[in-house]
Amino acid sequence: MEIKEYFYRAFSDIRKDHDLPDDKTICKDILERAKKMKKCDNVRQVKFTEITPEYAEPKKSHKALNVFAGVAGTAAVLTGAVFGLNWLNEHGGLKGPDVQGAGAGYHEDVTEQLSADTTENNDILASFVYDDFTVNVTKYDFDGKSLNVYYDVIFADDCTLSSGEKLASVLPMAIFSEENAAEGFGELISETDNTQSCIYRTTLKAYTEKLTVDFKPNEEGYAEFGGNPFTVYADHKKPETKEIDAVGKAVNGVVPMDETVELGDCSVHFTGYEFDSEVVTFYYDIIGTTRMDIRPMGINGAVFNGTAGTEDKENNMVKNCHATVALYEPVEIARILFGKNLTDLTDKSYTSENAAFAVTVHFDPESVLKLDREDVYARFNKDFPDYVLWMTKLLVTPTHITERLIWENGDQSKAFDYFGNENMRVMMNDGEIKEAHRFSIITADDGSNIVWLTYYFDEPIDTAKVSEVYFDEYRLYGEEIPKLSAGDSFKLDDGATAHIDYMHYDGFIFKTQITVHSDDPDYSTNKMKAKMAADPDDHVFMITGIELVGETGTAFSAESDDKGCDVGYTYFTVLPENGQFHTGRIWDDSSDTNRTVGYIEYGGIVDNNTGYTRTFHTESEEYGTRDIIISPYGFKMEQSGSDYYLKSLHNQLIVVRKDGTVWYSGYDAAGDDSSVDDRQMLFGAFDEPVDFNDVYSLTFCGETFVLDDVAEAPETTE
Amino acid sequence: MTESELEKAVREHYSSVYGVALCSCKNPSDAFDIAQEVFLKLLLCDTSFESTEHLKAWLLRCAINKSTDLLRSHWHKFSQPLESVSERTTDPLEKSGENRLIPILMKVSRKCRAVLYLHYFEEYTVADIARILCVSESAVRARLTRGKEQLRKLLENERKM
Repeated sequence: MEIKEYFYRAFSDIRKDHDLPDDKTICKDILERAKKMKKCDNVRQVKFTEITPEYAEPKKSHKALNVFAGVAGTAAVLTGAVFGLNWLNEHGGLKGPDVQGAGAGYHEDVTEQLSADTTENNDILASFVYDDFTVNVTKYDFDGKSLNVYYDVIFADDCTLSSGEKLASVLPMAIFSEENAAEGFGELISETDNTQSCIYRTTLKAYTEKLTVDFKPNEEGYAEFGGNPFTVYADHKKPETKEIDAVGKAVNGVVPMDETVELGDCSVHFTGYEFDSEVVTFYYDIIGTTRMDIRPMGINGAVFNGTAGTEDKENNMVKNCHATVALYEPVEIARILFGKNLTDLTDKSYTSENAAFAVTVHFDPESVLKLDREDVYARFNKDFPDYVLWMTKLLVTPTHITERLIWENGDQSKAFDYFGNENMRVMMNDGEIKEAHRFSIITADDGSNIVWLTYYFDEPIDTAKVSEVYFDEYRLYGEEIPKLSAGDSFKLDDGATAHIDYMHYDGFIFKTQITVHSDDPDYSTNKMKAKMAADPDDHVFMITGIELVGETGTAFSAESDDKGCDVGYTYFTVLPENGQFHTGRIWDDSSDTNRTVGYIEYGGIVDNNTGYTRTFHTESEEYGTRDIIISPYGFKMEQSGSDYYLKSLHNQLIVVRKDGTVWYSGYDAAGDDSSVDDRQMLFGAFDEPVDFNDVYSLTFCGETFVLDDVAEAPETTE
Repeated sequence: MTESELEKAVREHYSSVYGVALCSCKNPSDAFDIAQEVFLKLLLCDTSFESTEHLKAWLLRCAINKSTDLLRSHWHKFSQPLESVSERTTDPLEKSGENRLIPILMKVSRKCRAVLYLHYFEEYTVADIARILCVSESAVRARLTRGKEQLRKLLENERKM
C-alpha cells in the first residue's frame, strides 16, 4: 500500500470509526462552554527576570565509560568444583555412589603422582566409580598452561539411562587445580557418541610448573565425596615470548607478512596487517586447531576489540582471522602482545608474562591520508541531544577510515545506531564518491571517554586523490577548496554569480546571506519550474547553500527586473556552543551536481560577548513557564504551544530605545531545533541587530521585557 | 464569529483538526478535547481570515499547539504512556476495530506523524507545512523522509505478522 493510500484509508472515515458526534452537537457543546467562560483581559503584564550567565569556556566531560569492547568467546572463570552431572540429577536418572561404602570413595586406585610423559599414560590412570557408570582417565597432557584430560565413561550393564541421558552424562566435567583454581577454566572440547570418550581442557592464566588435579562432582549431590588428587608436571619449560618484527612496505594499505609462530599444538600464520598509527588490524590463520583462541591482548596501552575467523574443520584450522587493536596514543611503532587460551584478553590483570608471542608493527605514513588535528575537529550531536561527540582525529587509509572521538555524557546506544547506519564517504578528485561501509567501534577501557570508529572501503582507494571526506551531513576534510569570506563571489555551474553578502555572528546566532545574480530576468521562474517538474513538493529551489552545524533556518527571496534576477538566501543557526569554530561547506546545486565550491569558517569567540545574550524567564498561567534567549541577531525560545506567534503583532520584535524611539524588526524565518526531542525550540534571526546598550525595553511575542529598569519609561515616538 | 460561521468551520474542518490532533497526541479522547478547544478558541478570537485555507491552516496550527501543550502538561507526564495502553484490548483505537491503520501510524515518532498527516492526507506542500508548524522547510523534508521510512518498516512488519 502506498503511503498516500494508507493515509486516505486511515483517516477518510475517521469520524465514523471513532464515533464522534455530529457537527451540530459539537457546535452546541462549544457554544455552551463559551457562555460559561468569563471574559478574559487579553493584556498581560509579565514580570521578567533577567538571567545572563557568565561566559565560560566549554567543558568536556570526563565521565568514565564502561568498557564496550568485548572479547569474543569470553569464558567464565571457574572458581570451584563442578562436575557435569547436573542434568542427570535434575532428571533423576543417576544413582549416586554408595555413600556408605568404604571410605565413601567414589573412585579407587587413584595414582597420586603421574608422569607427564603422555606416551606412557595410556592405561587407566584414575577411575571414578558410580552405580550407573565409571569414569576412567586414560591420558593427559600438560604444557604448563593448558591441561588436556582424556577419559572414558563406561556405563553399567543395568544402567537405566536412555541413550540421550547417557550422552548428557558426559557433559561438562571440570577439573581444577587447587593452587590455580581461580585462574583456570575448562570446557569439554570433544566427545564421541557411543564410547563416551571425552577430552577436557583446562587452561591456566599463567604458566605453572605443576598442577594438582582433582575430579569432583557437583556440590549439590556429591559434595561429601572427596577424591585423591593427583599431580601433573609440565612437559615444557616456561617459553620465552616469541617476537616478530613485521617490517614492510604497505601495499594498498596492507603490509604483507609471511610469518609463522609455532605454539606447540598449533601455529599461527600471519599474512599481513594494517596500521594507521592508532588502529592496527592483523590478518592470520590458526593452523592445527579449530579454536579461535589466539588473540591480541588489550594491555600495554592497547585496547583489543575482537577477532573473527572461519572455522575449517577439514583442514583443522581457523582461516582468514582478523583482529583489531586500538592504541591510546598515535605511534610509529607498536608491539602487540598475543595471548593463547586466555579467558578475557581485555583483562588488565594480565601482564606480558601471560603473552604467547608479540608482533611489532610499523606505521607507513605514505599509505595514509592523515588529518592530524588534535583540537576539536567536528562535533556530532545530531539526533542524540543528551550528549555530543568530538572528533579529534581522522585517518583515511587505502582500506579504511578511522575516527577518534571523545564522548560527552549520556546514553551511547543512539549514537551507535547513528554511526552504524551512516556510511563514511570520500569524494575523489574526479568527483567520484567512494563509501566506507563496515564499521567497528572500540571504546577505551581506561576510564577515559575515547572511542575509535573504523569504516572499511569495498576496495582500496588512492588516498592521494581524496579531495573531501564526509560523514552524514558533516564535511570532515577538504582543505584544498577555497575559503570564502563575506564579500567574495563565486561562479555557479549554470553561469550565474553568487555573492556572500555578509556573515554575522554575535556569540549566539550566526547569520549569513548569499545572493545569486543572473542577467536572465526569468532565471528564478525557470529554476522554480525545473524544480517543480522534478519534485512537485519542492517549492524552494536551492541554487546554492551552506551546510551549517545543527538545525538551520533558511529564508528565501527573489526579485527580477529588466537587469536580471537576484535570488537571496539567508541562513542562520544557533551555534551549539559559543567559542567553537565551525566549517560550512558551500555548495553549488545550480545544475543538480551539488558541487562544493568552497567553505567558510564561522563561530569562534566574540569579543565582549558576555552580556550580549539575554535570557528572559517568563511565567504566566496561560502560557506556562519558558525561557527566551535574545541576542543582537536573533532569538531562541521554547515554543509555548500557544498560537500567539500566528498573529502578525507577535511576529515582530518591538524595541523601545532609551530616547523613546520605537523600532520594529521582523525575523527572517523560523526554524526549530529537533535536537531537543520533547520540546519545540523555535529560533529566528532578526532583520536588523539589536543594540542592547541603547534599549529601554523589548516586546517580543506579546511580552515586554524592560532592560533598563532603573530609568523611567520614555515617551515613545514612532 | 457567528454561530453559523462556527457551524460552517466545524463542518468543513473538524475532521482535519481532529485528525491532526490524533496524530499529535495519539489518544482519541484527548484529540476530541483538543478539537473542541480549538473551535472554542476560534469562536472567541477576533482574527480575520483571508480565505478558507488560511482558516484551516490556523485551526491545524492551533490543534498542534494544543497537543504540544497537552503533552507537556504535568498531568500528561504522569499519566500512563500509550505504549502500555495500546497493548490493552480496551484501547479506543483498537476498539474501533474497523480502522487498524491508525495504531500503526501512532508508532511513528510524534514530530514525523503530524508532518506525514499534513502532507499525505491534508495534501499540504512542504512549504505550507513549514509555515503551519513554524519550522524550516529542511526540517519538514527531514521529518517526511524519516517518517516515511519509519512507516514503511512498520507496515512491512505488520504484513509479516
